[in-house]
Amino acid sequence: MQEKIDHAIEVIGSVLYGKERQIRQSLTCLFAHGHLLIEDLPGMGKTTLAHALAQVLGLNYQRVQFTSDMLPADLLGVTIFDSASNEFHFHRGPVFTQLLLADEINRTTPKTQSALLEAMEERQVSLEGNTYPLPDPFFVIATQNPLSQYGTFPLPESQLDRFLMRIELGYPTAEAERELLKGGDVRDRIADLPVCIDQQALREIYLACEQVQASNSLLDYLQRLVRYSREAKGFAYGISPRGALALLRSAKTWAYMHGRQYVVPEDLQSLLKPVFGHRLRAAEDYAEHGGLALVQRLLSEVDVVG
Amino acid sequence: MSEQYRLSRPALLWQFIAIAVVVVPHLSHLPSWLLVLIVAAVGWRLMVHMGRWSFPHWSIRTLFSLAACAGVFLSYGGIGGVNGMVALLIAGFSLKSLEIHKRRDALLVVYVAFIVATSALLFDQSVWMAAYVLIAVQLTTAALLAIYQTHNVDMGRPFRTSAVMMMQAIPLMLVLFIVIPRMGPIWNLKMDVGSARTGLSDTMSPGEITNLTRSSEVAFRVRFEGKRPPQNALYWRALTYPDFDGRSWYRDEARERQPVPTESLMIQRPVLKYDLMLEATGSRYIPTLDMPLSAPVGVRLNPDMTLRLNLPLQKREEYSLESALQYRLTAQGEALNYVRELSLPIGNRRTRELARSWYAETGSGDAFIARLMAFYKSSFTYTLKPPKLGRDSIDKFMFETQRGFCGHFSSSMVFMLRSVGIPARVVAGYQGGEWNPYENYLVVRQYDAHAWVEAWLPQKGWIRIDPTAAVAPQRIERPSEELFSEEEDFLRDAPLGGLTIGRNSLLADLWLQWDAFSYGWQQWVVNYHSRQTDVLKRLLGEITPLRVALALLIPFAIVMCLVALKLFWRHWHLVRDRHDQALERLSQRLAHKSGLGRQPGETVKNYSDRVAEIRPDLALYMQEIAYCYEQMRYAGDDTGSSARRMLNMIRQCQTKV
Repeated sequence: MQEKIDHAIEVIGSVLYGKERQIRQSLTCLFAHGHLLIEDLPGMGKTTLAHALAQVLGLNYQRVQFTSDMLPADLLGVTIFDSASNEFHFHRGPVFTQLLLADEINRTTPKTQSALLEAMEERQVSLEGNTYPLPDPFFVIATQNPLSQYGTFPLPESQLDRFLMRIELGYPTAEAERELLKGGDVRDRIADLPVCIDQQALREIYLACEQVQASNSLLDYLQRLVRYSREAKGFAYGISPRGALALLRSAKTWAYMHGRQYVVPEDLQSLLKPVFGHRLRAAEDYAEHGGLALVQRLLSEVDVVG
Repeated sequence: MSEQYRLSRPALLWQFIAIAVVVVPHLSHLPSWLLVLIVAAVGWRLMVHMGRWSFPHWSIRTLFSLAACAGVFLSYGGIGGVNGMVALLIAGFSLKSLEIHKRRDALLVVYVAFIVATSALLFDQSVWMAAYVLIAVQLTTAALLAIYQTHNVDMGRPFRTSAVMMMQAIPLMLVLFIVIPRMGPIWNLKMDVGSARTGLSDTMSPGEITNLTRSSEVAFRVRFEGKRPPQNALYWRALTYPDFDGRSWYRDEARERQPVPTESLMIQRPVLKYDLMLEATGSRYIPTLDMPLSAPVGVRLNPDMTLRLNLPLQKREEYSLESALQYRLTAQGEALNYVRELSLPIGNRRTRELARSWYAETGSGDAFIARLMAFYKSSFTYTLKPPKLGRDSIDKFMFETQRGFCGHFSSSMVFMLRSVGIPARVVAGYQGGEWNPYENYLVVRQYDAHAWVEAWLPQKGWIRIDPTAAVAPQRIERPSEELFSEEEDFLRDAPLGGLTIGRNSLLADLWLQWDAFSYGWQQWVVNYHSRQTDVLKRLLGEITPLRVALALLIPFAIVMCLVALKLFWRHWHLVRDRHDQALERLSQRLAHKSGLGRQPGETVKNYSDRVAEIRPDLALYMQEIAYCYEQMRYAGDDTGSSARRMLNMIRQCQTKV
């Protein structure tokens, strides 16, 4: 199974150069049944990553470009009166898919954002008294522009918390960029990517990850991290129990992807930035950029050994 | 000014608290202008702190300092005395508070505050003052701690820390108090406190002792060895007055200077031994039970068998004394040798004539005295409010008013005795005292002051005669407060009036208990130096330098061991287990040798990789250690084999480091 995963990473890497760590993190997120938030400047390959992930995992895929005049119905679907059959028919919106790419989620109004976020949490859509289940698996990969850009509606903390991870892609290295410039249009190639992990395998991975061991010493470390974020100065608020659970779940998956049946502190440390970065805020930071600096403090100040 | 030298707000506030607390006990003797200066200086600094005013210019500060020095000099007539020095210190450190902006300045103020706090004990050594100084020292320590408080600055922390420090210091303080040898004073301090104390004076005019009856101040306390003598034997001699000018009686200072007693004392055993603790009255006499045998070290025994100090007594002192109740004191020779004790001023003719006629009738000294006593008993009245006497005071007292108290009786009796050629003198001192049953000692107060007569008879030598006992025997048989409580003048100046004393038995009882407590404090704490040798002998068996050193060191060692144990406990048992400790030691060793200590956030694996990169010779060990650690801690290997292997590897690795 690890070979399949490594192969999938390699395949995605052939369209997104030099981003192995981010690819691994986003796969971890999906394997752990979590939603992923990619935050970066336009044109950094957010859509490419999302698209390639859908292709490699063999999931059907919808992309929604969020705009400021978008309404929840545009996302969830509408009920229309069919004069031929004299009945109301529900027309499913783009949310009814296995992998939804919500592009530039913070460009739309809170109303639409919350419609999506409810679907993410409940994995179902409730409209006019009817409940429509979403397909299984259901993943959301949302991208957002950095908050300092014009025309953005920042997601409140409670909604950020729904995303298991938030990653940043960053500029490519010089070599990767040269490769990219030589390689021509990646869009055509994405459509040709092979399916590496089918839905059966996805389920197996999910179950196998549950079996990964987390020893007492590791849980001690996790609790020290969480307690530090709650007690040390400079943190506006600490990590919630849901945040701690999220880190543990992703760390188990991360360990599994590295072929281990137990979690080591390195797993927690590798995932601390994507999992805790958007869940922390510095006490005196009003631009909400301090999360990663706080994660760095957790990494360097909390003792790994008891 | 760098950040770490700036004084925090709580530190400054603590400074003010310390200044206030240490100045308060000195308020009673500081001149009022100095109080104004302190308030002004601290107030100015407070305004600076609030940002309203700025620091005064250096010229203003210099002016203030010079003015303060001059003021102290003028107020105290120099700075030789303790009061002047203390005032100068207080002026200095309150002005220094105008300069507090750096840590160094603040430290100076705090150090001076410690000295000022303890100097309060020079003026008052009571339990209250000791407790107060203890608190003042604690608050000053808090001020000191606040200066060094750099992070998490708040008001409460220095207080708590200093309280803990005091608690830790008190046992050591007790050990030092008990064991450290006392040195005598290197120089004599001139204390200017004795000016307005009550007590007997060098002259006595009949009527004067009434001033003392208004005061309930304690004169001295006595603890007897063995049984206490009966109340009517408690005559405490302090001074004798041989000279009379018709109005007042005077001490004979010139003859007291004579080195050797000119009279010989024969005593009848048993000798009564007692410890007498004299209050700081500011006078130079030591009252002794009639009749003292010898003088303690540093005290002069006068020819009239009174004890005299070289300097006025400025603090409570305890003396071990011996007296004989049955004695015969006489000089070789005849009555005519006592020229001074026979001389009389002109005047008072009627009294002289009466004395001569009686002496002619009775024929002998003994019979004359008996006649005289009978006369006092039959015709005179004892009162604390006698009528005024004019010229020829003795005549007026003997024939007209016939009302008075000890001063009048003794004065007139000596006059009568001298008129017929019997040497006589007035003796002033105290009579009686109040027995404290809780601690078994006698309290003698100023209102117990008394005057009586000593007369010389050829066969008997000097004998004690108390005419007051003839007029008012109850004055001698009963404690004064029972006797005087009807008199409205009695204790008029005492703070609680007659309330504490006398009929109100509950309060009187409480008072006795409190007095017993403060007597114990005085005996065991303030005057500990006189008992130290006994105490140490009892504690150590024998006083050798080695034993004293051990007695000092062992408690210190015990305290240090306790502190060390606590630290070790915290370090090794509450935080780390054995394997983490071993790893920690390896990391410390590597840090020491190669600067390769493990950072807190560094996992063991990352750490071993880092070490391996810089120290390839250790690479294998480190990898093995990291692997074993991972197995043991995270992979759920509970067989203990990887744990053992890791310890083994750490040991081997350590030898290579």
